[in-house]
Amino acid sequence: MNTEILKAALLGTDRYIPEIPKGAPEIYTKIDALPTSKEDRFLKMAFVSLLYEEAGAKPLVIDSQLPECPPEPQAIVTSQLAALVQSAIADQNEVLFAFLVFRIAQRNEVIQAQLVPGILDKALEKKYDKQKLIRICGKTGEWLCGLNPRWKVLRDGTTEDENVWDIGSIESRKGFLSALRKKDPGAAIILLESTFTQENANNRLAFLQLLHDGLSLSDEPFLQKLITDKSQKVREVAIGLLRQIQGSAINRYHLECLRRMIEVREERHLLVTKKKKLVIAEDVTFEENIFKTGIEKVSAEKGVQDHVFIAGQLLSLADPVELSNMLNISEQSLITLFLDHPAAKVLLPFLTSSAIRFKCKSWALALLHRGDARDIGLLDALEESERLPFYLQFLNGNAANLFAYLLNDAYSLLPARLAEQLLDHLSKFPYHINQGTYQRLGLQLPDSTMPILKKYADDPRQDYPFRYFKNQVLEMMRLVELRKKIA
Amino acid sequence: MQYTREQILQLAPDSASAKAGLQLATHHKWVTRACNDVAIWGECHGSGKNPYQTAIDLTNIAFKCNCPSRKFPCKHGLGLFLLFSEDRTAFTTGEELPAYVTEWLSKRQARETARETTQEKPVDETARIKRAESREKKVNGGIEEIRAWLGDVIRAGIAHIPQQAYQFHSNITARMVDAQAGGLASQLRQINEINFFNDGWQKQLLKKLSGIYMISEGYLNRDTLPAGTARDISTLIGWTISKEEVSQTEPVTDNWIVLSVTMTEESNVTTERIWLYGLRTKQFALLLNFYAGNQPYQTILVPGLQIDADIVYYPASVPMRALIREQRPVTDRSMHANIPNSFSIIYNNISDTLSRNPFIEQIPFMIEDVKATLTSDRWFVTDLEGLSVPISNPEDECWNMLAFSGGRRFSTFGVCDQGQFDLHFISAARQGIFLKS
Repeated sequence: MNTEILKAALLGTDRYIPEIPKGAPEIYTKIDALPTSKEDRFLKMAFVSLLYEEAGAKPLVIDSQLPECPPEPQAIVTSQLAALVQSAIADQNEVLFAFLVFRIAQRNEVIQAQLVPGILDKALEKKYDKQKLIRICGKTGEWLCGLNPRWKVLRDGTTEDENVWDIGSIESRKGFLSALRKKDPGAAIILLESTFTQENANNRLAFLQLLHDGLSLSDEPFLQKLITDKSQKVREVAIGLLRQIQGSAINRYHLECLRRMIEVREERHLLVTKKKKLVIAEDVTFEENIFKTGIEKVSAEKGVQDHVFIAGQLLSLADPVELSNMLNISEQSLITLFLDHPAAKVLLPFLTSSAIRFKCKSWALALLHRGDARDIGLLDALEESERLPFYLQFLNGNAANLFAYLLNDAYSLLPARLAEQLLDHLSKFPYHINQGTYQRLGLQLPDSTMPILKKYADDPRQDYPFRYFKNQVLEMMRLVELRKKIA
Repeated sequence: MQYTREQILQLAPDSASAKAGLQLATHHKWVTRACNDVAIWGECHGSGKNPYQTAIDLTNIAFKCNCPSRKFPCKHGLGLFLLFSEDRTAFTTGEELPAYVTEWLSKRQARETARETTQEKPVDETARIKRAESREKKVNGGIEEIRAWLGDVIRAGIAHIPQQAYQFHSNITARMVDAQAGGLASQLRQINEINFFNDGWQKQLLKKLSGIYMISEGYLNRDTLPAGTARDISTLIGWTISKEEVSQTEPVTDNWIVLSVTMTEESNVTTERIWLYGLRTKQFALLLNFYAGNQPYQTILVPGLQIDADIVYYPASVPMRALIREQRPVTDRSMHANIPNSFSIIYNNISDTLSRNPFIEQIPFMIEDVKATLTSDRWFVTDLEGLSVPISNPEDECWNMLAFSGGRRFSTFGVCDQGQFDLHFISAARQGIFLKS
């Protein structure tokens, strides 16, 4: 009956009147017999027909069933922690969310099942650590990834990845190459080489820049071919990489040039003692080819002598150990000589670069002890326990860099003294870091800083910057408490 | 105190308030924190010189704060409540209430008493009859017009309507407003909810048009209808019953569990729908609240809450809409709902309800031992006998439901809205989630 009714409704009762089929309920005949207009009769029939359909509906029989989720072998987080995760997602509090995920993963626990879809959606976003998020989703996550095509990629990443290199966007291809380079540097070169000539200049450049990770002598043949690439930028990057590879032809050539330029002389001092002195030769002549291997002839800065500038460039990629051996002098003595050199100020960035690149502890210490180091990477050359005295010298230059360095993904607590000094600095310069960094700091402040934080919170000062700082302090106190609660 | 952290956060008027409330749920922000059996109170550091005084009535949840915020509850109220739910030990137990709390609680008590004892103002009976006659005359005119309009629409056919879906009924809707038949105007506005790009619009539109026609038919024959049905028709046309009048009816006293709280907004009016289920009487009740603009919410009920209350139903053939006349804290939580486990029973109940009120739009249901199933990109729930119904929840809610249940059986509360099953709440192994929250 409904088909007839709908046909009449679409066409209009002027064009079509529904026929009452045989065996239809008696009510239709009764309505049809009413002495009213055809529209009145139609609307009543339509109402009855649709009501019959709704009231007489029956459930369906469906054969297929979804598989059940396998039991979860890992412990499930407490409801308190789950509620915090839920709030962090709802508030889009990325800092807290990342910390909670870290803590859950650290405890080898999994999130409550009802939160898994939200977490899997987050795992699809690029900014999160996909593996960690999937891990905290446990068996429910694996099971759901098998059912939802949208999340399937999270489970079967490799299946999808196979095609990424051929059909993916530049960003996904970069991500794929970068991951492969970390896993198997040689395979990354083979993959890149297979399509390199078909890529445009921008892609070639982007891919080449990813080779910094895992750079080794085995990359030299591939990079050597790129010295004649059509794109100047690609050529420059390839040469830059070759210069960094210890033992590559360019690197050996540069080291040889440096050896020719630098000499350690012994001079008599006060007629009795002998004193070593480092000399950078001015009169060494180079083939013009050296300036095609990434070495600049003249510095852009005024007052920098050309030979010092060239030596500095060569120094920046020279291994301090190899250089010391070459000059038959200890690393410690060599850096002392460099720092005593009249052009030490010009050489500083190059020496820093070398110390960082080769993680040379003696050089890093010598540079840090000067108190004017600008590159926080120098600290990487030291053991963690040795770094503490040097942190504060980076506070005034670029505090954000120092905080980025200190606030690590392991959420390790800061030494109490350092935390106190950092808070003192921030109370004077509250805008040196942003709100997100304050939150990160709160998560790494030791419990012993609570009285200090409370002192700042109770400080009666009312100037706007300090009020801003106080608000951040309260948030940090909340986070310290929260961390204690979920410890 | 049975409010959980999530439930308290659901009381927040917006996400910013919830976030700010969370930030205030820390000891250091509060100069004083105290509680007793009837209230929680505290003083919170704010941007002002003096701390804000915040209090929460625990008997019948309500918030009071002297901060200048126009949000209700404000972040201080939420912060204090959250702190109380998380760490009760941080509150001193004070038998003696501070003056500001005593004053507020006694004012609330006085208001409650005054409400109960308020005498109806004497009514000018002649004027009332005159007003009623005048309205009836207008409604009669409106009914004639809408019947004629529906006849015209049907005569010409509805095939062309999607091309002018939002205009074709605008004039008649305005006429119904003029004719003081607000219910009919509202029915006509519901046509806007039909998705004319989806297959099946024809049936939905025809159902709505024929339904309006039958309401008008019912109105014309109201003298011959049973009292309940006549009442339904009057309500559908737009006659309302005052809350005072409803409050005079016989109350239903029970332990009511809040099954779902949903908000919908249309034309700057927010409609709050709260579904309750009486554990003793096995009855559903729907509390409907309307808020214009930024009007603060009055009902502090959140899903999962259990209340001991006297509820009065609006008169109808299938009583559903209700009011809370009196609410008390729950003393007995041992009662459990007896829920059917077959869709045959649910469908029988739907048929029965429709036979009593063919115009009813939402029929609540509860069922246990059902499973979620996904077939050809469509979601179903299947009972123990293998009988399934399609569900109309958005996809993300369906995945949440599947994740929570782990593909195993669960109990659910939902609403059948014109044949579409929309699940609001599911529970399994003594835990539950609110899909609509």
